[in-house]
Amino acid sequence: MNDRQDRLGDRDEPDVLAHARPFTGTPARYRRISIGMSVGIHAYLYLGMLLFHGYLGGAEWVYGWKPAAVAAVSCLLFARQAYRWIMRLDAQYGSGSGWSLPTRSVKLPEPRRRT
Amino acid sequence: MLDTIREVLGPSYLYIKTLHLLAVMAWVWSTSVAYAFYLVPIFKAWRRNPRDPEIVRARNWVIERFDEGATYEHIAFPVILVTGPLLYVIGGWSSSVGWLVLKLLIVCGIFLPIEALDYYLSHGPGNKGKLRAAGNAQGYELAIHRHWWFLLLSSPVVMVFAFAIVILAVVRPF
Repeated sequence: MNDRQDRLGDRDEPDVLAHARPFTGTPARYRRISIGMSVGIHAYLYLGMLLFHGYLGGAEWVYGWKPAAVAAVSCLLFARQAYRWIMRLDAQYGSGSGWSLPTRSVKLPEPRRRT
Repeated sequence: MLDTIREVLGPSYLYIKTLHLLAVMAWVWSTSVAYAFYLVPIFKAWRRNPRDPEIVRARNWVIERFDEGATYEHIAFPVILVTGPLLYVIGGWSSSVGWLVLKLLIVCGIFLPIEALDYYLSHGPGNKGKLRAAGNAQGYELAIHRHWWFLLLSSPVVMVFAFAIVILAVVRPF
């Protein structure tokens, strides 16, 4: 590996820039994943409630239209919010102007590996 | 077997519940400050400047510290997994209790796989410190990309459903 001794300490910094690759996340991909994740989670929870609480637990109310409507609305809201959340986290929204990037020379604490 | 557990541990129900709640608090909050104020700002800076060597160095340092910092969370989670079923058995709970069924579905079907993956990424073969020590720069970069994918996708799920299980346990709405 093209390691070099970090001048700020005794940490061998991996030369990851030599192996840099573009991150594979894209807005279209995030949208598909958010929708799929939301549908999957809500279907699992709804069917799980039908099986465990309704069928095995004897609760009648879970078979009504209200739990299905709540699950559907929650699914839509979660898909939308998850997408926005991921986009914000991945710096796809906003310009980053709320942060500055000053260069500083610091020593970073590293745990010593016990032998 | 279950009767014996109930008989022996029954008087300790509230102590086990206390331990369960302490573990839940540690699991939910132990990484939150590091995540919000260290990891996320640096990773956002990296996503905007993927080839800046100073930002890449900061990114590497913070994700390695985050791998170590997740240890508290990953000690707390098995405590939850032991004390939760004990409370279920000792308390005589059943699937007729709606809020508890939904809570258990969330924990077993959503959080258990997320945490298993998190163990793998933080302490298993995905541990960045170990990859650096092994001199595997390519694997190191790949592991960081995978960890960022994991954090991107798990963050909304964890935030929403961790809040949901606390609401379910405290309010017991149905």
